[in-house]
Amino acid sequence: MPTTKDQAKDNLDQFFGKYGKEGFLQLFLTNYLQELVLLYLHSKPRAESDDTSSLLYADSTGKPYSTTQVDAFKTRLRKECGRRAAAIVKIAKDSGLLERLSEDPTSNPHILAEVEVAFRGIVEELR
Amino acid sequence: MGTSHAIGAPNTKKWKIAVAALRSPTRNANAVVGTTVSAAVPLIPPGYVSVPVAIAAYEGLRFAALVKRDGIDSAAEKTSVRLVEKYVAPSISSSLWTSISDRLPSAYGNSVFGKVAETAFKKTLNTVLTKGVEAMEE
Repeated sequence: MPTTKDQAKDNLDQFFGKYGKEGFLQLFLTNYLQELVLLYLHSKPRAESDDTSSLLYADSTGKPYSTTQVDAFKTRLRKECGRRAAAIVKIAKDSGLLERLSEDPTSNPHILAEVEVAFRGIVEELR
Repeated sequence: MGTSHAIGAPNTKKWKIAVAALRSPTRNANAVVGTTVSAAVPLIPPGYVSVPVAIAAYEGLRFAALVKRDGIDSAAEKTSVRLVEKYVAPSISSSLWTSISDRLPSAYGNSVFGKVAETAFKKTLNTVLTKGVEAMEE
């Protein structure tokens, strides 16, 4: 059944009531990182042996993983993206960036620079 | 049958490590995500992640604050969101992204990273609007 306007408002209010800006940013960054990781894992390989798109679905001998195994691995990938998203949000919270995200970033270039630093921070933060 | 690839694989040592992590018989999601991010992020030119992400986060938070304060119809009007009664959540997510996209330099918005931000933003807002607090459990 489609979501009505009243339900949408309730859902939005309840989400922000429980998780706040922090939760919204974390969910957005989890989805962003998941999309980014899958984009690269589905990139055009330079050699057949480096075909990550195939390696997601079959092992190095070519034996296919079951649908359950593939789904479970994608769930674990998402969980790891969530862990990194939480790390970015922590950086944003500790630096005060989270609060500043309520300002229009196009009128404050410092916000854009801070987002860049927070995002790139995950490369060093969590391996 | 072919596979559509939006980008080519990086030609770096870091990417070879990411490939090895995925190829490992004991493939570990933490290692795959960590090595993929380490290989990918340094190759993304400055601005291509931060600008779409910052503007989308700002617009998403602004919309939520307006809905809480003034209601959904008023928030939609103030943010130029076109509300479709039959498709409330997707029409808000899609329409709000159009506003975000209009504010992005085209180089960012039309890039593959702009598309990543678009998919992530629409998925996020759509899930929150339809599932509420359960959106975090996805």
